[in-house]
Amino acid sequence: MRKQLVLLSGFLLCSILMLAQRTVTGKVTDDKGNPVANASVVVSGTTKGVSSNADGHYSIQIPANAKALVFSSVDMETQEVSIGNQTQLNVTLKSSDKSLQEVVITGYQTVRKKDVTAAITKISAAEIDNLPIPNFAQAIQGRAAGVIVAAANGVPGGSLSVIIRGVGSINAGSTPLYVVDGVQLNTGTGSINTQNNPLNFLNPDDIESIEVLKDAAAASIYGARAGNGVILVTTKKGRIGKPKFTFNTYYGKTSTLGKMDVLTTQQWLELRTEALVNAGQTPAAARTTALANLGLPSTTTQGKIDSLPTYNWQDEAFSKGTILNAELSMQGGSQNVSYYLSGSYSKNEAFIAPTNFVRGALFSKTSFKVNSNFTIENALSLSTVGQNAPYSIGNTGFGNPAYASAMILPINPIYNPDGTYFGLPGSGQAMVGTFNHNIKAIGEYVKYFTRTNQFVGSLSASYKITPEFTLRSMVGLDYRNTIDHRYQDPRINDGYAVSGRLSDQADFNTNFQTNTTLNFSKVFKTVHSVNALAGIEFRRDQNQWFEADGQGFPSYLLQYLSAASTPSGVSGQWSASATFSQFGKLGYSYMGKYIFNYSIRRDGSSRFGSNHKFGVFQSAQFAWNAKEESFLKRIKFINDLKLRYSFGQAGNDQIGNVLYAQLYGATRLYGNASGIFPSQLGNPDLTWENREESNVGLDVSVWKNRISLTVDAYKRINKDLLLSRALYATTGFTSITQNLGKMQNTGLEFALTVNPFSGKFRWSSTFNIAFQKNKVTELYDGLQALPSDASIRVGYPIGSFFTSEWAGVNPATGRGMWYDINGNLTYNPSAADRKIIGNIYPSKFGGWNNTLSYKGVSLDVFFQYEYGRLRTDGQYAQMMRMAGTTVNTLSSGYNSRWRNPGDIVPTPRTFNAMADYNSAGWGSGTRYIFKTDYVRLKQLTLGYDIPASLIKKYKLDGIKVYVQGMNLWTYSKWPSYDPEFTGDNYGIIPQSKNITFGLQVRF
Amino acid sequence: MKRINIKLLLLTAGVVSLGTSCKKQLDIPSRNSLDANVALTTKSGIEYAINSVYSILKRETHYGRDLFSVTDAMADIAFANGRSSRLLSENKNTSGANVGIWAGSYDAINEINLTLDAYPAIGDATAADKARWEGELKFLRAFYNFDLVRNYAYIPTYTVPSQDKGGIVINLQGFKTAAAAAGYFPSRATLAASYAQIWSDLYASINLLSNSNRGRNYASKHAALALGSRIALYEGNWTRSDSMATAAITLSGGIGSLTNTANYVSGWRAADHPEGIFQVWFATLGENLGVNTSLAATHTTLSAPGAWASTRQGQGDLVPNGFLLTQLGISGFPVGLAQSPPPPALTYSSDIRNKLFEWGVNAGGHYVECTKWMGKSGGPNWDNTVVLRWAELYLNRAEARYRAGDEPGAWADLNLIRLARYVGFTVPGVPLSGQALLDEILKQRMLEFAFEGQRFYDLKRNGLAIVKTNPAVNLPATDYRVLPRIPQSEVDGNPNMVQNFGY
Repeated sequence: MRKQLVLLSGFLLCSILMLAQRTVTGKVTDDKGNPVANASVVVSGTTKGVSSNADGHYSIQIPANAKALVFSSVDMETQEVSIGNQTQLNVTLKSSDKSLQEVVITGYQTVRKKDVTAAITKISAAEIDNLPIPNFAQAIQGRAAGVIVAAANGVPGGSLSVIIRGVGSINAGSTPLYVVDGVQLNTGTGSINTQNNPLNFLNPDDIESIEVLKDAAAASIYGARAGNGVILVTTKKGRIGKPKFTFNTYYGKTSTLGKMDVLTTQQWLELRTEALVNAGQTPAAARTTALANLGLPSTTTQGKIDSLPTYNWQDEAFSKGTILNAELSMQGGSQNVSYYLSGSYSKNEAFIAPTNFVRGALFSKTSFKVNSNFTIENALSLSTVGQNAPYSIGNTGFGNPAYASAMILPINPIYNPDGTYFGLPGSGQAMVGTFNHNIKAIGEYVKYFTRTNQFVGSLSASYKITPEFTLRSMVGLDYRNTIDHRYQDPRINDGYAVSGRLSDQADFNTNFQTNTTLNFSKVFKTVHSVNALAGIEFRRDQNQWFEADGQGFPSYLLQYLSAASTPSGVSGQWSASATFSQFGKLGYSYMGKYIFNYSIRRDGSSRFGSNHKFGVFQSAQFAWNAKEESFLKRIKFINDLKLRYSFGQAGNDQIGNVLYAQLYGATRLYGNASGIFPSQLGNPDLTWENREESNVGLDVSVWKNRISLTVDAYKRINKDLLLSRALYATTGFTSITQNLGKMQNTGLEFALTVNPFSGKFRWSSTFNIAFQKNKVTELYDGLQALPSDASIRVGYPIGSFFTSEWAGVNPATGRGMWYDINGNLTYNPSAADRKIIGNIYPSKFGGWNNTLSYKGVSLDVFFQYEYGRLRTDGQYAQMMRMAGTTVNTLSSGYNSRWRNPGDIVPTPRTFNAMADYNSAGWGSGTRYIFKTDYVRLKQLTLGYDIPASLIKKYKLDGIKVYVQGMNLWTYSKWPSYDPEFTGDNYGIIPQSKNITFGLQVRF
Repeated sequence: MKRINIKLLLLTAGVVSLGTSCKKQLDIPSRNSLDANVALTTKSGIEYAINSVYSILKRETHYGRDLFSVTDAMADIAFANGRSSRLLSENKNTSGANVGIWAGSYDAINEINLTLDAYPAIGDATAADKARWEGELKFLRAFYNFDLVRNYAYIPTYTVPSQDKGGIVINLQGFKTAAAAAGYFPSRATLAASYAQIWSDLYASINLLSNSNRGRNYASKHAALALGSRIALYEGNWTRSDSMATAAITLSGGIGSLTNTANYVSGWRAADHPEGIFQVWFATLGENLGVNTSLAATHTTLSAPGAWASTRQGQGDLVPNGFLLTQLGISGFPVGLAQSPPPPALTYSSDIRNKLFEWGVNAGGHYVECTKWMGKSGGPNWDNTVVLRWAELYLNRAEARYRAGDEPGAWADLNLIRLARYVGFTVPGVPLSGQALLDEILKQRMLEFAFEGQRFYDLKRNGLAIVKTNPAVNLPATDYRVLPRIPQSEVDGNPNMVQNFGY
């Protein structure tokens, strides 16, 4: 008996021991039945966990008291499964793309998507992975309803304009606030050479998500800097599990989207002669002059003329560039430490040499759990970007191939027979025509180089004082050094006369910030959920630069200042601004049904006058999760229904520093001595520009989330605009910055997601469109138009064209005509004939993204579009000079020009020096203003995931190969190279077409 | 709980102390500009402020280029060949293509007014310093106002009453506050009142400045007298023009002297023209206006005299037209002006002035170009701009004397110039008289000051039409385009301001 008892108890003990350490195994699959690798399996309530292997299997030892396992994986809904007495648990994880459990970062806080009360758009990593773009903001284009992203030009890593819900200001900036992992970025640029976008420091593939805080209520917590919206970027972080590596590379080519047909040498000679005759020369004199313009004697025979060559400079200038990207990341973590590390090299060449972009970047993010209450997080981003700058950006430099290549007279050879460049100064050869610079030689010889070294990092510590209170302190640094080297080689036209010219510049930007927040979160009586936040913040931005110029280099091999014989200039400046802020937020939710948020921020800024340094910004937000109501809970086909309303205030401080002070500048010179002059009138009342916005939103999701729709409508009013008030120049000043005027933006945004197929064949389609209307509602002193800019008028949008309307060609005379204010025809429109024509911001815009997949094959098709925007086509205007000066011109103009009375044609008769007798300038009025409307196949990606079974034996988690095309197709009626740009389109490098091949290996 | 309270207390203390120190952090004054309260309180401050007023003259809109080249492009002596597409509309007298000195000139005038307010309080300055400051500032105010009035208004010797909208805005106050500036709605003074203010300033400067003061780069009594003879000529005050010119010619210890046929060309090749009485000084290489808009770049492609076969330097946009070349006694150029390479030898008459005109570099053909500016100060595009020089004194006086009925006096001055300009010139036995005498004076003026910004005003003040064959222009003196548009922003919203006729 005793023996038996001993045996029994031994058995029981064994069982208990076995129970204490029993093993559960199983397989994790997704809702299509595919195995989920690297899913995390953790015993609920502990940190003990394992990961699933490549075919989804896991095996975990669990303690006796374990009740449930928590399964989670990237982009999957986390699931808790009770164990009971099972030893095998197979789990299917649902894709969490549209999961309501998804969290959204709202600034100093993270909330469940369900609790969001404001207009926030989230873009996740999957949407923007592996795009061959140097800059993450470009990835937002077309993907966030209501956000206009426009590249200034095709310079890789160049300027972007990001406008959230319309422009709210006349003179202050419209750039949103960018916050990367809690560090607010300085978006000033410091290059004299090229556009070195400060957002280039981050490899977009290191991004986990981008949140766009669109309405003033959402942005309000960032106070005075949030007037143009806020873009929050969160980088990837490590997850608990063994180290996982991802290697990704892609390679491809950039090429032009198109070229313009221009005249042959013979056609140009004919047109030039015609221009001179029309302007009054005799045919004989005109022919002599036209021949002389081509460098030919007046005795040149027709036979000789017929055999003159035509060289295609555009073909030479517009070649192909290379894109190359390689990156390796590692992530993982244990109970106390998690990490994400990545290194990347990225090269992107424009199709017009030598402009390029080369970035090396290192990124590390680590989190240390010192104990269960105390966590330290550290993010470090180091990058160095090298850019060969174009000869000039968006201006009319003769050596700029984007500007000049189509206008160089085609009789000029590019190379000599021996392969050297034709027409270099000092060679005895001269290029004929206005554009007399050999742009190919300039591209090779000129050294315009910009190096941007950037560090963005933060260290934060958070301490859980009690389960409810968390204290978090953060220090961040955003440091940027830009070094420009601008060497005009003595062999080229602009450097020859002075034996080479050099400008070296160094620009240092230091942006320090620190904040401390106290967070409170508690659920009272299970239904009242309260969270509160209080914080303080200090930020200081400092910029310093200096420049030295010299000329006179003994050889083109000597390219630094010590070799210069003559110093020709020095300059340098220092500038700084600081803000100090206190802020707080209170959130309340009743059973997840009724949600209320209130936020307040008080900001003080050094930019404003002593009378008004501080400003207070508040917001109130409500949401009703109707789906949580019992009467809707029963209705199965509705998965989610939420109504939102918010009202908020935010400020805009994007003006220069010390504009409030009355100052004497010291930048003038006379007689080897300084000149000081009153540079600015003081305004001690200068203060914030204020944005107030109401937003109504609806989120609805039906049929098992197959269709979900988000609609937002807003009315945004900006008042106390930081306006550069015009003064009569007779005062010695032309403007002063004051808080005057009002502007209104209204808009409607739709984002629709449809998942018609979600089985083996999946198709997910996301479409968004925004309608946007802007109106200046008030100026000052009752003015209906701004004196300094008559196009800014009460009742009309900012960015309007206010000019006289082009009326085409008079069939009788061939002269261009315009409409006067009464609709009558005139050759000489006056100021009184101007009217509002349209404006430079689109009225409808958005994107349409489709993801299709079948087995391992996936296809992404992304269209982006813009409607309702007008722009001056400066490049086209210059190329339409019709031999009125000694530049080549467009064939389309040549073919459509007026020649004889009665011709009904769009192009006026050609005329030497362009403007006809007693006529307005040839480009006056709306003649060269066109619609930029376009629909563009922005991205097309075809990928193939090699089946797990094939790669398993190589211990790989996954291999994906893909081919990607950018800008493959465009619908547009824009007359010159490309409609996607900002500015007046003078000599900019246009957008390009990219095709890349990629390989991604996970192991 | 106790521990928490201590932590919260520490936190609160931290927040409070941070808040206090941060308030100080929000005060960040400029380190690049001076606070207005200290700028004009020292001797050197006043000197620097005066330098700034001179420096505005260097601008492209003023004597950097436009007051010479834009006006000559509008007149009847030049052809804009479109090599860099510059000055084409001006050359065709297109509406709106004219000088634009309004804002820059009033900037300078405001600075003058502020400095005139501030200088009496400078403690350590001597009476001589103060007299010089006031003299230079008043000379400059007269000078800026005169450039404004001769451009934006009719010249008193020839007005079109039905289109005459008066003189210019006379501003004698310095603006210090936003409120004062925003509340300023100026109106145009009459033509007479405008000239009266100019005379008041000019007489003050004549009395305050020493004969040569600081040399030709700054205002001096000599410069003020020379300017006075021009102003009086424009105003039709013949005796005053005569007396001012005579005073300038006979001033002892003045600046420079008239060149003759022996040193005329070398005078133009020197960095400082020996005839210069007042010039705008581009003292350092970095101040030149560069390859597109400097005077040298505008007028010539040559890097040195005779270098038509070597590398092109400037744009050479504005060249003499056939009329001027013929008047200068040059022949051998094609009718259309553009010459295929190689250019043939030109034939020159005995007028020494035509030696400054020669074939330029081939760039859409060779053109005969003016070489008065060729980077004479030691680097490409680097030249001073001579505004007042000796030859003008005699030509002003000749014209004033002719108008006042003193034909022998006019004849004497005319011949003095011709003797200095024509090699082997002999005074004709029979003097010219009447219209022929005036025509010859104006012709000498045109030849003497070709591309020096005089011709347009000579036509304007004498009511002469601008007639050109290439481009074909026949602009009577009554045409509205003779006067520029006052910047529209000066008129918008100001009920007191009157725009010029036709705009």
